[in-house]
Amino acid sequence: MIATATDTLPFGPGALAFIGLYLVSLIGIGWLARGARQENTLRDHFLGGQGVGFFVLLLTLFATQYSGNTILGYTGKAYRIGFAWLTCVHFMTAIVVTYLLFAPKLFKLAKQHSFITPTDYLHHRFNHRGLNLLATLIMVAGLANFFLAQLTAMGRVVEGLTTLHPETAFLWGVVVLAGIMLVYETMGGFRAVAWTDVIQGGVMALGFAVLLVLIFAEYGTLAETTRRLLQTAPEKVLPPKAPEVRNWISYIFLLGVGAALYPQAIQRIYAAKSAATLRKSLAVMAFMPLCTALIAVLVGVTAAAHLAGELQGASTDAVLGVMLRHIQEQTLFGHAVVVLIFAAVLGAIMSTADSALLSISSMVTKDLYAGFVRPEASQEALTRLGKRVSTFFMLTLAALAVWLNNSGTKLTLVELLEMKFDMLLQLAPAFMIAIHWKGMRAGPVFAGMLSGLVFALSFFWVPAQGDGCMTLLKNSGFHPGIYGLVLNTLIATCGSWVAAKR
Amino acid sequence: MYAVLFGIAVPWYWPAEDARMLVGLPLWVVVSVAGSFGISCFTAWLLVARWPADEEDAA
Repeated sequence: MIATATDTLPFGPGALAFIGLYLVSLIGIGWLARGARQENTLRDHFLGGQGVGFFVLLLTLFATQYSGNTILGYTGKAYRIGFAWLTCVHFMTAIVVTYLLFAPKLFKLAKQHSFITPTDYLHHRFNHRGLNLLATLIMVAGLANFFLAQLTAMGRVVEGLTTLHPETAFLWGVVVLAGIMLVYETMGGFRAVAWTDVIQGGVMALGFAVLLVLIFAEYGTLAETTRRLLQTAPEKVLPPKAPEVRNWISYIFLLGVGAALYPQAIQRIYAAKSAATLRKSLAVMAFMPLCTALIAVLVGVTAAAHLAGELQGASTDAVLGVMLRHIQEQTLFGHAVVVLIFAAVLGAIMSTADSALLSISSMVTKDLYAGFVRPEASQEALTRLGKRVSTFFMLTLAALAVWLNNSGTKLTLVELLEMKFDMLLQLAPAFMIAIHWKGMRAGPVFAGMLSGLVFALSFFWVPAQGDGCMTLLKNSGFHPGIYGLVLNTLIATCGSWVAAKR
Repeated sequence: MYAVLFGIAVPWYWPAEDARMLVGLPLWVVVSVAGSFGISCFTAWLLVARWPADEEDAA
């Protein structure tokens, strides 16, 4: 049983009405975005036509990159391992650093050739159907995993909002929130997603700031927290040891590179109105980890010091809800602010989920259906299909989230997060090396991507105990995706070099 | 530059039992966060001042 705040944080009618109003406003924005549609084309539906300006781009980048994982998953992980989870600040910063490697050239190409999906770039660069198919499947599978994590987070948050039985609350949370998301996304496409991101990102930024102040007011200063934790669980305060440091480096590389390759993030590069808009937005994004992920770590560590042993396993993702319950009980002001923070959590989850869903829909429609099944399909037909694809993935993955929750298969949010990066990382040579090196060939890139993917996923079946070579690699502290990427890069670069010599 | 900044930010060089504190946090955490701030500043500077001019023109 997940120890959420189900029986601890029931909101009254006023609070539920506020959250309801907030959710209804998202549908209103979807309706406005529908009115702003310029043409019934794929580009208009999936990228918002001619592009978005600085303010919207910044908040949609922020709301998309910072998800339910950032607030719920990161506080839960910091609760479990302490200050060592500070690595999340570094890998979130590393994402922006990675953009420096390829965003300037990719933006230029996207504007010149009207790219809509990441695969459009691969098609332009390599013109290799096998590579297009493999890369699209990797991205769709990775994003479906990510979307599932967001749906799970939705269910868990709603468990904390009502007095319903946890499984019933989870079901209603997924159905209602996913339904609202589907309505506004179907109506307004990218515009609706980006405009709702402005509200969701704004509420989220405010929520993070208020959260830090509240936690200090409720649990005392950081010095008290650190000293208390040093006495009760020193391993959560002392510097990480060698295996943990390897894990830090692996995380920074895996997520720094992998998350920069999120299809929805690449599509936001395409959607920028100008290079100036893009670079200013990314420059501000470089500081966001210090205002968000760092706060999540401090909140999680505070919980570790003051709520030690209250939660176990996957249920630790609910530690924030338990802390908020303590705050809520103190004053009316505390109660009101907790409602705001829950709205921020919902915003974080929904803004990430809607972007992922729209991106999945664009790739299935344009890269798979129009690319392999019906290349002659009209723009109107494809746009219509895109909306149906969104509905299909929403229903299927929502049902899976509810089934996983009811069946007792409870993965923590960070576990769900890591699984997809091992796959997404294999796209790196095709995007980050090939965009600079004209000599890179399609065949070796395809072979490298496939080999890296198979090698990374094969670690799933490697036993954790024993003295075999693969077991040693698995227990080394580095993620399987890193090993896959090394193999992938070797094949792609050496193969291209050999091919060029012939 | 990034090698130096990430080298500071990743706490590989701290003794395992170092429990010194600064501003209410473990000293290694303060140094690591400072390293991260340095990375953010350097990255923002590169984005604003060193974005390739030909890519700018493409917009």
